[in-house]
Amino acid sequence: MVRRVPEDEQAALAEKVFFNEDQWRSNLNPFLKKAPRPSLAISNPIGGAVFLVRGLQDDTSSEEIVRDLDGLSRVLRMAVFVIEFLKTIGVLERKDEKAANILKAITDGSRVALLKYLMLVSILANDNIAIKESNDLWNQYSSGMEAEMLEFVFEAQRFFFRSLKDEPKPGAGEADKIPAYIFTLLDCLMDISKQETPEGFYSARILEAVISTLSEDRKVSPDQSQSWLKSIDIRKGQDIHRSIAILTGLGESLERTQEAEKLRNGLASDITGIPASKAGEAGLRKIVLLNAALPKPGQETPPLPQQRAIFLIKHLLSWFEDEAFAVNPSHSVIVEASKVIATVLPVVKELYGEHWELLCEYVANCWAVCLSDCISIIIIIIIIISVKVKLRDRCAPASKRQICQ
Amino acid sequence: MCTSVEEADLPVIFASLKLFQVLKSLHKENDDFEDAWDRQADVMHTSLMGLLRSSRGLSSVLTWEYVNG
Repeated sequence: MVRRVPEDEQAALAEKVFFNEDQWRSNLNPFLKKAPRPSLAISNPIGGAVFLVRGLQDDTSSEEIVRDLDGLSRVLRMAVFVIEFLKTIGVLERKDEKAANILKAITDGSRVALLKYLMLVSILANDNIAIKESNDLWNQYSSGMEAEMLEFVFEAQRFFFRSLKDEPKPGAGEADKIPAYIFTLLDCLMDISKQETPEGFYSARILEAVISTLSEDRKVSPDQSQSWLKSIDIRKGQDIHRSIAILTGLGESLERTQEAEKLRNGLASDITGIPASKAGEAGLRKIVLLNAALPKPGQETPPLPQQRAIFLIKHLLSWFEDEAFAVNPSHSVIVEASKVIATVLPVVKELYGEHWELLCEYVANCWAVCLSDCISIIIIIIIIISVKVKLRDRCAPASKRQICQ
Repeated sequence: MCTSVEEADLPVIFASLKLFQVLKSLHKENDDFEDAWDRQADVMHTSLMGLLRSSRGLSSVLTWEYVNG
């Protein structure tokens, strides 16, 4: 139908097909009030940010979720419909130049809404595949439904990342060629991810995806990175989801810089000043930030100077020796502390001391803490990893990293 | 299905297994570490085996994963 109308009317009609901001928001609302599950710390790219979500209303019963007979929520059906529409007019396969022009003709606001909400629904769908019932975007579970949803996530994220990659790279000495609608999308995500709410968390995940894609394509200039970093006082824990998204998104391009080195040192120093009694609050926030700023394991960049690293490890272990903390240890602190220690440990491998014994005890204690709990947890871990591998394998040709993380 | 409290263990197990992997790869780097590793090996082994044993059905899942690649 869009193709049959005159070209000057196509954009207006397409905007109606893509739904407006109000339609997306009203149908997404119940999902944006629900607490993300803590096990998402394993499968989402901004990791421990999930532990910092506040202001949760863990009960969606006050807002009824409209579903079809197959259990699909209305917002999921909207997103699936849009993807099918884009596929039908040839945008997804880039078969038709005229079809691509329809997208370029719609307003920046509509384009931003389309990208943001499609990505948001695809992230929720991905979470609901990785952890069954994690948000009940659909609530009738079967292998057929899982396959359909995997297909949807793949197509939606492929469209999203291709939209970011469409524009040309800057030439030598040229300014960034990031189009205006991507800047609008970035501004919008930067703003929402200031919140420590579920919506702030999901927006930060989209923000990380946008920044990492632009950064890998060398579309983010050093000046741009600096201006993002300077816009927040990261060490004070201001706008923490946004900070984590920026640090994780810039990734390798940031980790070798002096600013990153200074930030890692600063955060490690801050942590060593936090007593066990504040580990669950102030400590957790700093460790999550440090994990976002540390180079990924296996990178050549040294995560911290040796002395700083050993002080940090000893201090983290001291929290778990504190009687009050050890009685009821915070699971999120254990997770984030384990990640930090695993990353910085190679730096101190030659140092002698009693910390090695404490580290071995610490690992055994982590498992002992879990022994008294759920009996099927490892099965779920295997299923999560299995889904991640399946998604990664499917997405590998389109992008090395971003899709389906 | 795990309750929400039990689900909090998932990331703990995941992160501690990764840390264990790093420790295992480094434990021969210096004598202190090697001695500590030897002294704690039984404790870690018992704790890990306890965790594995408590995950009933694990073997069938592993088999399914193996069969399905």
